[in-house]
Formats: sequence, C-alpha cells, structure tokens
Amino acid sequence: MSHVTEAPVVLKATGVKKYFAANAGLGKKKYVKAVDGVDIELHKGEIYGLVGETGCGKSTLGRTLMMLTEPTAGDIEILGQNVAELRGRELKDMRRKIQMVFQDPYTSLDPKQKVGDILMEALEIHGIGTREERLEIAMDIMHKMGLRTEHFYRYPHEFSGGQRQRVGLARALILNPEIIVCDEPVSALDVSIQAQIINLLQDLREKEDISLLFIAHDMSVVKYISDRIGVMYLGHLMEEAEGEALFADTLHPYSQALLSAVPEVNPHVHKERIMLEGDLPSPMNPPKGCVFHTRCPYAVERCSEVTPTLKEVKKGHRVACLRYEN
Amino acid sequence: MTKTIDSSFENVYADDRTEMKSEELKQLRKRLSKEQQEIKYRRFFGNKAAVFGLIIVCTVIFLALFAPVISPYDPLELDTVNRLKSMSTEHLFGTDTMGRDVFSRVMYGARISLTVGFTVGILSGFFGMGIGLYASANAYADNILMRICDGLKAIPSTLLAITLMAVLGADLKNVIIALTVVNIPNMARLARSRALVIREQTYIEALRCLGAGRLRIVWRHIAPNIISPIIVQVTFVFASSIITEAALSFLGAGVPVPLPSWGNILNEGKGVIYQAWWIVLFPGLFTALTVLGLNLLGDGIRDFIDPSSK
Repeated sequence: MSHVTEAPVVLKATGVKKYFAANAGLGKKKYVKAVDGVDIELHKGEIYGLVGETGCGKSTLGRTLMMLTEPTAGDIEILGQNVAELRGRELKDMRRKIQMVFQDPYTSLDPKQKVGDILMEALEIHGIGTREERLEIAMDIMHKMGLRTEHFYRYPHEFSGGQRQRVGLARALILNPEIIVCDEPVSALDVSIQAQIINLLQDLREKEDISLLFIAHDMSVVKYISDRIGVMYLGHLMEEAEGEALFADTLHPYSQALLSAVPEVNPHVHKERIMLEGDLPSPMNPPKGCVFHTRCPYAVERCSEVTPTLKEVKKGHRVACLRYEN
Repeated sequence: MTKTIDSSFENVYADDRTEMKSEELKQLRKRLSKEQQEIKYRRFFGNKAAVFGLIIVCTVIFLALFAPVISPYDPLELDTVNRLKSMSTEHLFGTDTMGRDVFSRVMYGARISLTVGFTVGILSGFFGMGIGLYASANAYADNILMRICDGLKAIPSTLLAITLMAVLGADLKNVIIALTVVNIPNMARLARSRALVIREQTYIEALRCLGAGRLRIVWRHIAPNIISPIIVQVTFVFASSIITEAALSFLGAGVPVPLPSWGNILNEGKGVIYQAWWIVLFPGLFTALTVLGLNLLGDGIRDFIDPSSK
C-alpha cells in the first residue's frame, strides 16, 4: 500500500506540544505534558492508525488537530493552511474540511435533538441549501450509513450503540470533509458492531478518498484498517511505519512489547510475550532522555541522557530509539 | 451547494431507499412524534403520585379562578353579629373574628397564593437560568455572580424576604419581588452547575467541530438540556413561595390586610385558635395540600419532559 505515501499531504503537524497546567500545591505550577513534540503527516486517502496505551496523549493530539484546543507549541497545517492563522469565516470553512467521530456514541449526540435535526444542523451552520434540500442531503447520508428513513425522526436514546455511531459518522460526513479524525470510534461497541463500523470507514476511504486518522488502543483493529501506523508513548511518537512493515519488522522496544500483547488467533503459533517492568511514568514528570528508558529492556546509560528523535531507518519506517541511530 | 457523497455504498436497507414523497414523510413524522408523545404521556400518567399532584393543583387552580362564583359571601364583608361561628351549612368553614366567611376568604386567598407562587416560580426560573447560563459561559462573570449568590444564600431566606419587605413596603407586588430575589440564587446555581456538566459533553465538542458559534451552542443545545431540572425546580419554588408568602403574611410582612391570603388568614386566626380552630385549620390545610400537590407534580414533570428518562 505504498501508493498512499506518494499521495499529497493533507494534514501536517510539526512539533506539536500540548501541556496542561496542573497545580502541584502551594503555588507551584506543573505541566502535564500530554503531547510533547509530535510530527505527523497524513496523506490523501490514507488511513493512519495511531496507537498507544491510555494516557499516552493520542486523544489530546486528535483534539488539537481538530482545533478544539490550541497547541502549546508547534504548527498544524491542514490542506496547506496553517490553522493558527485562521480566524472567523476562514476557520469556519476549515472546520468543514476536517471532522471528527467520537469514542462514546452515548454522549456524542444531543439527547434533545432528533437524529434528522442533528444532521441538518450541520448544514444549517454552514448555510448550505434550503430546508428541503437539507432534509434531502441528510436523508441521503443517513441511508448511506445504513439507517432507515424513520430513524430521521427518532431521538438518540431510541438507538443502539452501533446505530448511534452511524449517526455520529453521518454527522461527520455530511459536510463532505477531506479528513476525519476517529477517536476510538469502535472501542465502546460490541465486536460484531465494530466490524460494521470499520467496514463503513474502509468503504469511505475507497469511495470518497477521505483521509482518516484512526486513534485506537486496540492493535488488532488498527492492524486491520491502517495503511500506516504510529505508536505513541507518553506524548511522543516512538515509531511509524506502513502497517505490514510495522508488524513484520518491529523496531522500537515499546512497539515490540505492545505488539506482543495482541492475541494470536492461531493456537499453534506460540508468541513470546514481552512484559514491561514498572508503571507508566507520570506525564507531569516524564523521564529525562528517552521517555521509555525506565521500562525498556535494552536501556543503556545513554538513554537517560539523550532524547532520541524520530529518524527514518528504512524507507517509510521511522523510529525514535538510540539503538537505531548510526 | 455541496457535492453529495457518492451513492455507491452498499445499502443495508435497499428497499427503504425508494424515494419518499414529502407527503409521506410528513405522515411518518406525525406518526412517530405521536408515538413519542404517547410514551411520554403514558410515563406521566403511569406515575400515580404525579397524577394525584396534578389533580390537587388543578382543583386549587379551578377554585382560585372561580372564586367569585364559588364563594357564597364577599371575602371582605364584615358581619360582626356572626363572629367566630363554627362550621355550618351557612358558613362551610365557619367565620372569623370579624364575622367574615372563612370559606370565601380561603377561596380568594388561593388566588393570592397561587399568583405569588406562580409568578415567583416563573420569574426566578427565568432570571436564574439566564444568570446561570451566563456564568457558565464566562469565567470572569461567573466569579462575581456566584459570590453575589453566595452572599444572598448566606442569609436565611425568610429573614432576607422580611428585610426586603421592610425596605420595599408591604404590597403584593413587593412580596413577589422579594421572593424572586430570594429564590434566584438557588436557581442560578442549579442552572450553572447543570450547564457546566452539559458543556463537557461530547456533543458540544462535536458542535464546535461542525463550526457552531457560541450563541448557538448555549441557546440551542445547553439551554434545552438544562431546562428540565429548572422546570422541576420552578414547581418546587412555586410550592415553597406559597409557604414563604404565608409565613411573611403570618408575620405581618406579607400581603397587607384586608386582602385575604392563606398566610394572613392564619395570622388573624392564631389569637383565637382555642375558640375558633377552623380559622387556622382550613387555610393551613389548603397550603399543605397545594404544596404537596406541586411537589408530586414536579417529580412527574421531570419524567415527562426528559425524553431519555425511563
């Protein structure tokens, strides 16, 4: 699937940092370094899977890219425009281009609005079409997401989780975005429903050439869907490669541990499970040097002094680890 | 116009794709909203206590509205010959210290009590919600407004109301103003705390992603989602204002005599409670019943207006 890496870049983040101020008592200001210098590129028509354990900053990165919070540092370029410079009308137009699907289908829909109104409101905000035209567009997208006409007049609480997620997807799609950020779109759903939603997403990519940033913690889902995968740990991007390459040739010790935790379907294949020592360090006080050195089985002294940067070691395969430098 | 997404998706409900005429759509919409209404009504009427509350409240409202028709006497008419007469067919609830018909006075008193309760409920709900929403959206205003509310809440509400009445003067209008001021802080706090919860919901974030402006988010999404606890609170304020008004009138700081309110009937009867207990019994009973009815109704309304509550 190397074709995607040659496709034009639709989203580019450079050195994005997001710190949250946290009070450490008695006037001491501390910062939770949720995202600490991430470079990421999304190509047209690509599905980029972003994985990492809970609290590694992947959702924060997603929200920052969505312009829901301002980055502490770094630049975000969407479709060639630096979003920090956008104001008012321009910003509103830019929002049309990048949409989001949320994790929890139970809180992502306004309980007081009927599904049809939720969808039509997106069009109304951008002044698209007349009332009748909006109804038609909304109806159309609903059908494409496998919802029935009668669902148009129903309240979110009358739906199942999977159906709600379809509504969430319809809402993200109705403005014809070029990029969709999916923040764990299936982790709140049943496994059978997960497959439906994932197939829908793949269809979308194929038929609409939409680029997807797929944030998840479930490696098997990400493996199935992604063209490229990025592995995050404690606010840093540790490794990035094309899907197959990452699984076939895992370089970073953290990725190795993460991948070894994916259950194997074939009972005859015996997998070596790499257990990580210790706990996830606090993002308020991340380790010096390589953030992973406290738990890394290969850590040497240099790891606690030098912070590795993401370097391309093979074609399309980038890794942030001192073992692969030089 | 936007380009619509290519329609080559495999459709799960293919036969449902057949173009629906707008007439049919209207029908469908009507049918579904009727269903949704029915569920609501069933939920409300399935709640025995709420129905009981509704009946009480409706009865009292009916009595208040038709007080001139129902009352056999003028509530202000003095009849000094027939003072402190016990209950009889002539005077259903007996007569008071000046020979006025207690039944008629209680009926007319319902008008005053309900007017005060209703107006105070609505006004404090309206202002409380406005202040609460504003505070939830603006951190600077929030600090100031909430400190004012804290200040007002630090004073016991009856005491505050009496003080306000002393400043404003005894008058029906001033009773309403005083009680509204007393009730706004609670209402504003409630609205604010609910709004802060709603603000954190993912659907607000989704709206921001869609490009919705602040006003749209506050008025079209946060306000409708905080209104149900507000309405419930309004019914409780309605009830408590009736009590507070009665208390104020009882203390002589409320609705000025000779206008009958349940509170000042109680006040006038308290001196003769051993000779003529009916003077305090009936207005007291009506106050208690109405307050009970409103409280039961309030609980029922909450279930009724929230589409997602079971």
